[in-house]
Formats: sequence, structure tokens, C-alpha cells
Amino acid sequence: MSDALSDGSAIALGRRQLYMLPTRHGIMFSLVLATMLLAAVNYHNGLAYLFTFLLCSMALVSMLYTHRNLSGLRLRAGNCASVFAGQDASFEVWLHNPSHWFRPAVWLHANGEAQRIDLAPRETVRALVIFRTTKRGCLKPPPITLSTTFPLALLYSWSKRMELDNRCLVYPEMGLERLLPSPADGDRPRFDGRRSEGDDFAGLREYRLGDPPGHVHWKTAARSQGLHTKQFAGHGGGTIWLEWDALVGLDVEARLSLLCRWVVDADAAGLRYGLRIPNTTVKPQHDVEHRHRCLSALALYGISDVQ
Amino acid sequence: MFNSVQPPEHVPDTAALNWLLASSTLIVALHAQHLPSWLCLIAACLIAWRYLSANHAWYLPGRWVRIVIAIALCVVVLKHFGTLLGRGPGIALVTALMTLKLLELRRLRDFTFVIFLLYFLCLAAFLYSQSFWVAGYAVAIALITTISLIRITQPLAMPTRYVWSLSLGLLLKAVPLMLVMYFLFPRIQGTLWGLPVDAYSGMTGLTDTVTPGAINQLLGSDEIAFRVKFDGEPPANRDLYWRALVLADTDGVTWTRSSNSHLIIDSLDYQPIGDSVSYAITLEPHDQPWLIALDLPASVPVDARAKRGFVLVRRRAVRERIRYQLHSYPNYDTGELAMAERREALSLPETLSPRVKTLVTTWQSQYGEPGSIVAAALNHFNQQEFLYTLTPPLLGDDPVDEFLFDTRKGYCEHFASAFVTLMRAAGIPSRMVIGYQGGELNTLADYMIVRQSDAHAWAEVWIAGRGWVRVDPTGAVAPERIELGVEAILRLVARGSSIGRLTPDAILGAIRPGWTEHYWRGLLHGWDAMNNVWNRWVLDYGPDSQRQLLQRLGFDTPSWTQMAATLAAAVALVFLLLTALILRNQRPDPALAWYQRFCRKLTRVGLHRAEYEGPIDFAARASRALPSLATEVRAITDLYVAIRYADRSGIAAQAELKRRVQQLRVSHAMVTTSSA
Repeated sequence: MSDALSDGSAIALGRRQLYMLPTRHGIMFSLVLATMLLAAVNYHNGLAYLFTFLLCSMALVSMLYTHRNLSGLRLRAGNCASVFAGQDASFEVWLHNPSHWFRPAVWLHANGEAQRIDLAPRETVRALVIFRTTKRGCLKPPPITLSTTFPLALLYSWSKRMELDNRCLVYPEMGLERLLPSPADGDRPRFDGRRSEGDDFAGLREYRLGDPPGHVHWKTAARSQGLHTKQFAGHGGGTIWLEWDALVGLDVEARLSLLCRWVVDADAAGLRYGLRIPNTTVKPQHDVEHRHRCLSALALYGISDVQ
Repeated sequence: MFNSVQPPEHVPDTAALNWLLASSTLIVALHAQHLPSWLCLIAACLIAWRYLSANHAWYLPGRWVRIVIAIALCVVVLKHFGTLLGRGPGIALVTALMTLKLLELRRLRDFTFVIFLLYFLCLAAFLYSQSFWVAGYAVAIALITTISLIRITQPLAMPTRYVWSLSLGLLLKAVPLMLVMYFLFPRIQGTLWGLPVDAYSGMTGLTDTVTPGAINQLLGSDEIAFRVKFDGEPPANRDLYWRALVLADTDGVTWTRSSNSHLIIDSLDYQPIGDSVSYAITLEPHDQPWLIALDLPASVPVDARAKRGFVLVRRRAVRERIRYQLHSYPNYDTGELAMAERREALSLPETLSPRVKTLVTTWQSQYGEPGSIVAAALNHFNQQEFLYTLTPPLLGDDPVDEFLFDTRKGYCEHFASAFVTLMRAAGIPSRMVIGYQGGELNTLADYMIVRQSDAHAWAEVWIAGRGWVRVDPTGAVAPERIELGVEAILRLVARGSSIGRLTPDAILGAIRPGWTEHYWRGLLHGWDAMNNVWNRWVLDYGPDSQRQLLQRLGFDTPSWTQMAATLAAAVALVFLLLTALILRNQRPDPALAWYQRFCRKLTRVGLHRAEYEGPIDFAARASRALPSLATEVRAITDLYVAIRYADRSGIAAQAELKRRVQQLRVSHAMVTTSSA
């Protein structure tokens, strides 16, 4: 992973990106030092001079330590899994420490919240910036800032606000459950949360929000291996079309929400399905990519350009 | 840009608090020497209370209880000291309230406040003692307190070893900056506000009166009076007469400085004979104005004047250790005697006893000539069963008479006072000189230590054609005292030998130290040498020594602005060097370093890895060339690739790579000719 962040898209924190000011503790400490110096001067106390200057020098040296806790740190935007509007988007941020020193207590501020990251020498760490989505479309992550008070908290250093170049595709908010349209050949598939008979178990994939609970593979979950969803090859189902025009009398967002719901349900039911909305038609198929293609089309409906 | 991105506040964990408590305990222990013991006990209890509440869930007092304790502490401190102002009560109060504050630690700033108080209290201890030990202890306190500061302000439990090295690293890297600030920060003369009245108590030294027969406090004191650094070879012990005061007035019991010895003479007017001795004296503070010089001084230090009797006096009392350079002539001719001086040097108390008069009259009629009378008197001390002892009997109203004819036991003061009285009765101008005699050479650092126990009194007689001549009647009785020093006398006394009646062999055998004593003495000398350096550069580093240092650096009379500029420039320079040191990422990736070493080993047998050649291609080529090492080469390459590119950065893999590269032995014999 040490090479993962050395490409062009990474940001390296340099002197131009970093600022430093004393903390409240630092101001207090300087007042204490001033008092100590006065005592040393008044009593002609050589040892008091030495001690005062030792502490003063230590504060100055700690300035360098604080600076190097952020300086040289490399950041790169990682992936961000698509989510439905109203859910939390998790932007991945990769931080790489290229140096031989530890960088403890680096704070990553985003969106009004802070998380602590400790980086071992030459370590790469993934942080997630969680951001609550409100509407569909292409979402930019919030700007992030790094800060630290390491080691003595007399000074704090922070970075410029940095815009990451990853994007989260936010699908429309999922509508309420609604009966799927009938297949074109008239054989209406059942969807009741259980797999239809004759469907073949095709393996496990990672759980995605919106997967029906009946398809969750609880055995792996019980073994603390995370949530997985059972997938079934869709040979048994028929082909259906999810159509914009089938939902008359609703406004645009409501239609998109319902279509979105249908895509998820149809995918979970193992059906071959196609999507037809104004200006876009996605031919019937059944796989993960197809699901994403359909949901993306819904997400970006009416949004002319990716920001 | 400056929007608030300060890290969020956290509550320090118990381990962090324990570091703080450890540091508080060390501070209270440091102050235990001078704080009232009940206060130390209260402080220790408060620390223990906080420890138990943090680690064993004991009850912590509420706000009102704390306020009551705080008021009670103020009241008892006030009752004990009578005031809340000043050094003693101030430190007592801060210590008490600091430990009380330990019971009320909520926000992070409460914790840092206590830590800053600890730093301050550590400094306050230096107002009582600036010894080497205290300095070492302060370093330990600084280290532990800084660990507490790190652990408390940083929200993670770092490994103890890491915190130790971090704290130590911070302090060590601060040392060069500290030294620059210490030596170049402009020092001022005088104080900003008044010092307590008792600031100078407890200084010992010679007094300007001598009463033979009274109790002398200095003899038993091994405190250091001054240290001497000779420019060349130090003179022999018998020539080391350190002059401090001349006592010429007496009422028969007590000897004092003469009324006109306060006269300032502007030049040390005498005829030197032979070579001079050059030396520097570091005088311990004795709260009196007089300075010490080797007989007879030929120069006057800055800030001092010469007075009649060839003694040096400073304008102010010596209240801090001072260092001055002098040169003296051991041989001299002081020339004629002024009338007033002669009258003074012949004055006798009216109570001179008939026995003394009779003795002197015998000598006068027998010898007549002053030089012979002096010799007769010395001979008298030597022949008439006089005994040198450091514990003589006390004497009454006429100590000279009693000593000469009844007790016949005494030390330098007795002999000197009796001798001067005898000389004056014989019409020879004479006076008593007090100072020190001898000294102990520190062979490790090549300087001489003179202690208060080396205090001595001797006589001077004026003889026409020679001027003032030093005569030491003690030498007539106990030559060991003069030849070997008071140290040898104390040793001989401890062995029960009688002074003045020993054969030279017996003396040598008696005073030669055993080997344990020899090494012990070496250790003491080393310790004293260290203290001497410490005194010079820490305790006594003031405006004068700073001026001398700056002059050596090339500033003749540095102004304030020059000094400030020098300080700023030096601090900036050192800071830049530290920046380069701290921000440099010196250690290359260890895996890469080991792989490069592997490549170098192969290069030695002619297998050079080209720039464009990837590790796997190179391994393939190397395996063909070195079939016997093919497995090893492949294993090393695989490990390296795994660590570098497949994120297998475990310590075990690193160690494995290191081991394999180290154990790899390549020789030319292994290389197959076909591929070479």
C-alpha cells in the first residue's frame, strides 16, 4: 500500500497547507514561563534561569514536533459506495504516513465532526467521512481538515480545508413497497420476501441496504463475518419492464422513488427487468451492474451534468 | 481560514492521572526539606486520596468540602508563618492548593493548570538550594511532569516506552537552545524587588577580632573558604600564607584591627624580590568585605582597594561567590615604617604582667639585637615544653601570661598573640596577621582548596633594613602544621601522637593515607572539581561573568541591543538546525534498505541489477547465474515484493528478510561461467 498514495491525485501536506497557533494551554504556559523568568532574574538564580530556558526551549521544540505530525502526510480520496437518499454516504479517505516517526492523535475534521487517527511509521490508514445524504444526484464530500496538538498541546496545527475528488452517487430515496408490474408474458412473479421455488442459490455477496431481510445469510452474520445476502440466479422469473409511464398522477421525485424501489425488489426477486424513463431506456437483464445502471439512471434523471 | 478546528476535548484516563500524581509526589518530596512537616503530610494525604479515588473508586469530596479544606489550609499556613506573603508561606500555600486541586480535576485545563504549577514549584525549590543534587532531581521531575503533560493532553494510551523516549527526546533536543538562551540572555545587576532579610544568613568565615583562649568555631569546620588556581606550579605548603587581616590593637585579651588600618593606601608600596606568583581566587561568600591574597599581593582586583597592612578590601560585603585574578611576591622588602605605624606596632596593654616583662628583659640584656631576640623567643617556644593542640584549656583575664607560664598549650592564635606581646615588650614593632595557611591540592582538576579549618594566625615583626618580616611562632612548636598542613595535624592527633616531638619518618608514616582513603580522597576531589565548574557556570554566572564570556566571543562592550540581537540570531540558528534534524525523514524503508544490501552483495560477484530491471526479472537472472543460491535469491525477492507491493508489512516478514539477507554468502566460485 505504500505506493498507493504516491500517484498524482494524492495531496501531500506541506508548509503552505499548514497553520499553527498556540492553544489556550500554550498561552497559559507562556504566562507561567514569564513568571518563572521574573523569579530567576530577581533572585539571580542560575538554576532557575536554566530551568526556565529548558521549558521554554522544550515548548519551541514541541512546535517542530507538532508541525511534523501533519507535515508530509499524504491524503487520497478513496471510494464511496452509492447509497439511497436519506442514508449515510461513507467517503473513504486514505492517509499515508511516509515517515519513520509515529503520528499519533491526528484529528480529521469533516462536517462538524472529528475523528482521531493514529498512524504508525509508513502506515496507510483508511478513514471514513460519513455524510447524511438528503437528495439524489452526484454528491461531493464535505471539505476536510486535519489538526493535531501532539505532543504537548501547547500549540495546535491544522491544515487548509481540502476538497477531495471522490463523488458519491446518491440514488433516489426508496419509495414504499408496491407491487411490481406484471411480466410481459403475463406470468406475474411472486414477491414475498422468500425465494421462489426452482431459483438456484448462486452464492453470497456483501449486504447492501435495501436487500430483503429474508435473503440475509444469517449464519455468517452469527459468526460475526458481516452481513451477506444470498443471491439467486434468476432463471425462474420472467422479464418485466419498470416504466415511468406506469406511475401516472405522481410528481417526478415520487415516481423516481417508486421506480427505485421496483429496481431493488426486482433485483432481489431474481427477475430480468428493464427500465424505461424519459430519454433513457435500459434493456432487461439481471446482474449487479445492471441494477447499478438502472439506479444511476434514476439518480441522475433530470440532472444535466455531473458536478 | 482560521475557523475553529481545534481537536475536541477529552477526559484523561487513569494512567495519565497516575503520572500526574507521581510528579506531584516528587515535588512535595523536593520541598519536604523546608516546608513544615504537617503540611507535607497533608499534601501526601491529598495525593493519596486522589490516587485511591481514581484507582479504587474512593469517595471524592464535593465542592463545599473542597472550599472548607481550602480555607482551612490558608488559615493554618497563615497561623504557622504569620503571613501569606514571601517565599516560605507562598510556596507552602501553592503546594497545599496544588494538591487540593488534584481533587477537582474535570476539564482538561484543570489538569494542565496543575502541571504548570508543578513546573513552577520545581523552580521555587531552587530558591533554597541550587546544588548539583537538586539539579539532577529537577531533571527527573521535568521528565516525569512532561510525560504527564503528554499523556494528559493526548487522547490515546501510548506505550510507556514510547512516552519515555518522547519526553526524553523533547528535553534533550531542548538542551542546545537552553544553553544559548542561558548564556546570552542579558543578566542584570541588582534585584527587581527586595529580597528577604534572612537571605544571607549562615555564611561563615574569619572574624576581625581574635581572643586567644575563647572558643574558635572555625577549626572544626571543613567548609570551603576559597579555591585557588595557580597559573604555574603552586608554591610549597610552607609558603602558602593567605593574608586576610592585620590585627594590631590589643587590650591584653582581644586583638582587633587598628583604628588607622582603615586608611586606604593607593598603591601597594614595597620592593618585590624575586619572581611573582600569579593565581585566581574563587572566594566563597562570607558576608564581610575583606578579600584573601597570598603574602604579599602586588595587584588589586577591580572593585576593591588596598589598605594599610597590605590587605585588600572590597567595597561591598562578599555575598556571592566571586572570582578575582591576582599576583603576589612571596619575598619582599617593605622599607621604612611610618611614625604612626610604629607607635601602633609597639603599643602594649597596661596590664602587661611582671613575668612577661622579666622574661623580655633577660632576652634584651642577653642578645640586644632584634633579630636575635626574635630567634630567642622562637627558641623559647621550642624548648620550653610548649604543646600545639587544637583543644587548649580556656584562659582567663590575662591570657598571654597564663599561656606563656602556666598552660603552655594552644594553637596558632595563642602562639601569635603571645609572640607579638613579647616582641612589643622588647621594643620590636610587631603585629598579628590572620588568614589561612596551606591548602589541599585537587590533583584531578589542578586547583587548590582552602577550607575554614586552614584558618591561621601568625606574626609580623619590623626589622630595619628588611621591613616587615613574617614570623610564625606556631612553626617553632609544630613544624608539621606549617610543612604538612592542618590536615596532617588532625590525623596525627587522631592517632594520639604528640605534635612537635616526632621523627620525620614517624611523621611521614603517620600522614601517608591508606589506599581506601586515597581513593576516597580522589572521589572527593572529583566531586569538588565538578562543583567548582557548576559554581562557576551556574551559581555565579552573573553580569560580570557574562561580560567576560562575551568579550571572549569578540564583543568588547556589548550594548543591550547588541546582546538582544546576538541572542535572537543564536536562537534562530540553533532552531534552524533543530528543524533540519527533527523534520528530516532519515530512515529509508527498512525493506528497501535490506533489498539494496542484497543487491550490493550480488554486485560484488558481478551481478548488477540494472535500473530498468524489476526485482523478479533480476531474481530470475541471478538464479541462473547462481544455481546453488537460487532458492535463497527467490525467497528474498519474494519477501521483498510481498512487503513492498502486496502490503505484507508485518514485523515478522521484515525480520525474515533481514535474517535471510544477512545470512546470504555469495562468492565468485558459485557463479556459473556461462552467464557471467
